[in-house]
Amino acid sequence: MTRDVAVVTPWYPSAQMPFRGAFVRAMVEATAPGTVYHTEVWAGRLSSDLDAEVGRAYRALLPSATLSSRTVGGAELVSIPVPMPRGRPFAEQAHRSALALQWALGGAPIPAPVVHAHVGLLGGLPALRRKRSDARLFVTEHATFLDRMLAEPDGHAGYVEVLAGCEAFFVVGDPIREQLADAFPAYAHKLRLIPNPIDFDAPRPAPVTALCRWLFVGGLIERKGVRWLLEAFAICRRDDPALTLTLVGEGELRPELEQRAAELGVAEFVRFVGAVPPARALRLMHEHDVLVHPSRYETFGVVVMEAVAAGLPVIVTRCGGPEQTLAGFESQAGELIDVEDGPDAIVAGFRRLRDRFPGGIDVEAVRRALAERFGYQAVTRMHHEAWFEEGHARPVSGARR
Amino acid sequence: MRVLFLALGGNRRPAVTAESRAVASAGGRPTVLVAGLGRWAGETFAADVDVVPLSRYRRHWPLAIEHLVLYRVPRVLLRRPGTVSLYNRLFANRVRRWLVRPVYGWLWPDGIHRQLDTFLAGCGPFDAVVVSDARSFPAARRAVDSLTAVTGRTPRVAFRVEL
Repeated sequence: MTRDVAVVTPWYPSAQMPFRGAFVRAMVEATAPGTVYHTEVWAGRLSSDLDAEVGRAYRALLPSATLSSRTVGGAELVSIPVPMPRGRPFAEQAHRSALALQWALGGAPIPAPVVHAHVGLLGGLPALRRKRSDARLFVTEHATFLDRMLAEPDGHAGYVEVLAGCEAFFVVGDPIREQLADAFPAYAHKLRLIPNPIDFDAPRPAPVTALCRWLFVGGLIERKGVRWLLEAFAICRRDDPALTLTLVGEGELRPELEQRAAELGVAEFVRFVGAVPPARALRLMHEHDVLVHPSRYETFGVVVMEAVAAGLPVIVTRCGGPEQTLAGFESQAGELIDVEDGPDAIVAGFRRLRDRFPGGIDVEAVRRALAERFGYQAVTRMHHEAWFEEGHARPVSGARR
Repeated sequence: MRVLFLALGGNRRPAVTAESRAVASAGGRPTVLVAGLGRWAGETFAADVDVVPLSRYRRHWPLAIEHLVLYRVPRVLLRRPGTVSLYNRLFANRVRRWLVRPVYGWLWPDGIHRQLDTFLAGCGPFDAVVVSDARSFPAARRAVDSLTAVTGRTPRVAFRVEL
């Protein structure tokens, strides 16, 4: 375990949100840092009076509360709620997270000489403010809402503070790198690409033999294109009555989607599983035939990589990350389709894949190739090279291989 | 072990149902205190989890009058949800904040906690308190003080239960 490293993150899988920050946990599992500080915003309907009362009670309870548990990679997980009124600006969320971290640490700085934060402002600012003065800070940005964060003057200023104070700023795909380089040209030299680590150790027991069981994994929200997915499924099912669709995840669109499935006459063939822990999501990938991921925008597209790692062909939009991560393997992995407002691209993509299946599909070959780039070992090596480059401390012992 | 989950905000329901189930599976005796049952109607708790609405306990009479006069009667008279919301924001909440609650707090310093105290007197004691949402922190502080005074032992405090 690399005890010299602490991770600060606002996102980490929990009982409330089993998906959120699954890529951070994968990074923790791969690189095995000593401690993970999870500062989780707990937003609620709080008046200013109640907010102040909550703050006083929180500070009174914090010293005696049990915050620590164990997580993957043998790391200590310190879970720190950050109570606050809902709808507050990103900069305030970051500021309150920094305060909560400070109180949880009893006023002391994070002891590790290397601190790695996830999410530029929400994790980066608390880490910067609570690290030792001689500690080295690294940050990985994954957020898809970067434009909204930077549109806030305080958010922009906080971001500058983080960029100025970190050794290197990792991004998980070119879309974020370009966005940040445009917004902060003075810090463009600090931006480095690093992929999210993917576990390639659990392929499906038997290869896919037919493309009947569609799977979607992600939030049931507008950005994920789930409305068009449902429409496309209903159209394709008219040709092929064996098709089923499983939607894994929760979100504001669920009631509307359930109603629309009934209107389209496909309700009994569409299953809403809700949010599930990563292990169950993997099992579901093994039990389905094709992942359909019609997202409007992804910085990396972890789910797409996880599906390929699980041996599942994919139909995925060119929405930022996936066309980069699947570059060179597009037709072997499945079908890349354009982002469109409508079901046509998904329908056409499925029909192309179905008509040539299994021709040209070789998910196993893609899996092996991508493991070299995105597997735990590769991503761990990249992190260690940054954290412990020449002249700095070495890890205590090796991480997972 | 008797574990009290305080979930008065009702906005972290998946965590509360999963964590209370985990406590019950491990042989503990979880009680979940919620403000009212309405927001929890769609949730499924494990069989061994006791869910108690705080609304089951009678409000202190001045607060009951406040609720009736400032909120319930106007809601019936105004009828339309948008109008009610506007009335609450512009008038009722302000009267409560600036007039009723300061006077009430001055007359009955611990009155605001009477429902919680009644619950603890009837359902306690508890060995551990799990704070499950932001709104529950003040009640958790009161519960910890109260349980410590009654049992002579400080209950364990946590913000999550490992699944």
